[in-house]
Amino acid sequence: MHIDARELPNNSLIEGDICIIGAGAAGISIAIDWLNTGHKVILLEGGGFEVDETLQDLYRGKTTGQRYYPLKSARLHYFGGTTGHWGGYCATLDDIDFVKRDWVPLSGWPISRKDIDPYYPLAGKMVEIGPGEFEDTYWLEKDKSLLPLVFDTKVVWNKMWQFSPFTRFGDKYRDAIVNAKNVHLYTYANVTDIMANENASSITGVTVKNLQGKTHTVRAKYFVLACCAIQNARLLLASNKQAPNGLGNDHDIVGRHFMDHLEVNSANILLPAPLPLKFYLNDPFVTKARAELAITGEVQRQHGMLNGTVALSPLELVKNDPPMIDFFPDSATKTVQHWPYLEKMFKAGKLPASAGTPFKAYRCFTRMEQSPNPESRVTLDTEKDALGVPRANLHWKLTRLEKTSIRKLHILIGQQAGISGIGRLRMMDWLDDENDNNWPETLGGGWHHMGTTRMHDDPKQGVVDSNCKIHSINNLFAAGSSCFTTSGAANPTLTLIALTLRLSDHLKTLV
Amino acid sequence: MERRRFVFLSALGAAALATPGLHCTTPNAALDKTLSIPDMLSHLADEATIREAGVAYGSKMPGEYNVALLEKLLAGNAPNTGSDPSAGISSRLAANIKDGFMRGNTVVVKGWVLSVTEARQCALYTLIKKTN
Repeated sequence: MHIDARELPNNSLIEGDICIIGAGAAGISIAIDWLNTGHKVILLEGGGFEVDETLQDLYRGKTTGQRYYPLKSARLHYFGGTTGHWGGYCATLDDIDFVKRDWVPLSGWPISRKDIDPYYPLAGKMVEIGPGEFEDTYWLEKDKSLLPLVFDTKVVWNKMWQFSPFTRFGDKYRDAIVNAKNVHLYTYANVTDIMANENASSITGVTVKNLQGKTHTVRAKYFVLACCAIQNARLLLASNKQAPNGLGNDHDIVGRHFMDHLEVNSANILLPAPLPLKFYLNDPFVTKARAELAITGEVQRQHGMLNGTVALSPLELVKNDPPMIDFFPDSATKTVQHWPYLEKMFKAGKLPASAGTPFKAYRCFTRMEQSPNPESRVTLDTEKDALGVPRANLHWKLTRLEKTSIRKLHILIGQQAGISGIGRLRMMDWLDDENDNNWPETLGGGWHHMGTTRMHDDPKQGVVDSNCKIHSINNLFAAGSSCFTTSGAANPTLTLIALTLRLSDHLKTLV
Repeated sequence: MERRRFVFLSALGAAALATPGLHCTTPNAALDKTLSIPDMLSHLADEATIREAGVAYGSKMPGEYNVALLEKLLAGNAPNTGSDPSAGISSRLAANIKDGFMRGNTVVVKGWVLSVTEARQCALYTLIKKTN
């Protein structure tokens, strides 16, 4: 069922069993999981069915610290959320991502990879990759033309990515949700305040507003914040009537530990003779899966480094590409139009196909884990948006560990290139000096926002518990990558959906 | 540029050997050539790049940065094979390079991840060219 909250009488009261705040990858995944359950699900979406720059302005905020993308366009404020400009990259987190690592401050989830494993196949179905096949042997067996680099797999292994057919949740799941009897989707329903009881131990309702001046109230037994890592933190911090520091923020953790993957061109691998490395290349709209070069957990441990991977592209095809952070637009509409444009180019045969062609030089593109850093954080600005909610500021702060890890990653891959005799690796100038802690202007994130309501058993170290419940509040949960304790190296979408489906199962035991 | 092959050095060496009057003016000339040309790198990078790497290695390891010492380090305990001291050195260097990568005996010079042996070859090449 779909209701446009602009059309409701002002001050309407909406009631349900669970209330999901945000209809992006996480929120829609829960809603789909609750179809036909007999429970009344309220799904609140601040936008409509199309991207709208006026509504995107609600996400505008300042960024300081390491250069970052415009907050206004990095997340999409409409039904389907940021899947609207998602690149379709799917990979699982690794075992080591969940464990406490002495060399990574604040690492260690209260759950293990095994706790999420049952949900990865379900998440895979949501993004249309099937159950997901993340063993390199599966793909090498399936396609004998794929040739892996002959590296020592005790050091460097092939971490697999599968590519979703750009599943846009807004398109894919709209009918299922709009036609559902028990799921009540409200568009143009921006949550501006979460109301708690006197001691802020229980949520009594949320206030919903829209730019048409309507205000409504939603009451439910359980509430799930599924607005993305920045907005989840912003909403908790801004909901400060009963808790002066914001809800769930008794220990000043909400908004801290913001993480993104460091994504940057980092090296070239040069070969004496052309070699086809199809197994490692991604031709959009064609490639179903590809490998990236990753370092084994044991070697990460030996070298005290973060998790990270290197993706390869033929140098001659990408050498003139500007870094993503230089051209990421402030306009969300443009980000949404980017993929249809590429698809049009592809269908016209204007996208260069790289797989299968032998090349003599490959560009290394790093995807590096960011270590949890309390100084890397989301805070509230004094300026308020059009609905009266303080805007989010983001201070993205990196540490020396990320840089030494990127350097070590390339040294290890370079050594394997030397052992195998395929060629040599040359790092870019900004990695040459091991004592240089500066970052290049070309460094960007993967616009993978994580960690602002991090999971930890200890309320002093995390915002949510192992079931994604806000520690101090008995009926408020967070869904999505804001709950990630550490980021790993994999793109977060598949894991955030898996983690959300795990939360969904937990909620079913409560309602 | 890197893509311009350094192979010219090998060609130059071959020409020198084949040209009357230039034919191995000393046994050490052939040895120097073998020792100072990093085989893989010479197929990937141009002369200037090799020299840059050599200078960078010299800056990192100033104590090693002289011809005699680098020759000694690179030639090691090569057995005397008679009139051509370079014989057998090439394969030994190749083995040392691979062994260096396997044991992590590598160094980063101007961004290149090289075995120490290769980096020393770059340094020796740089010094030899400077004195020629």
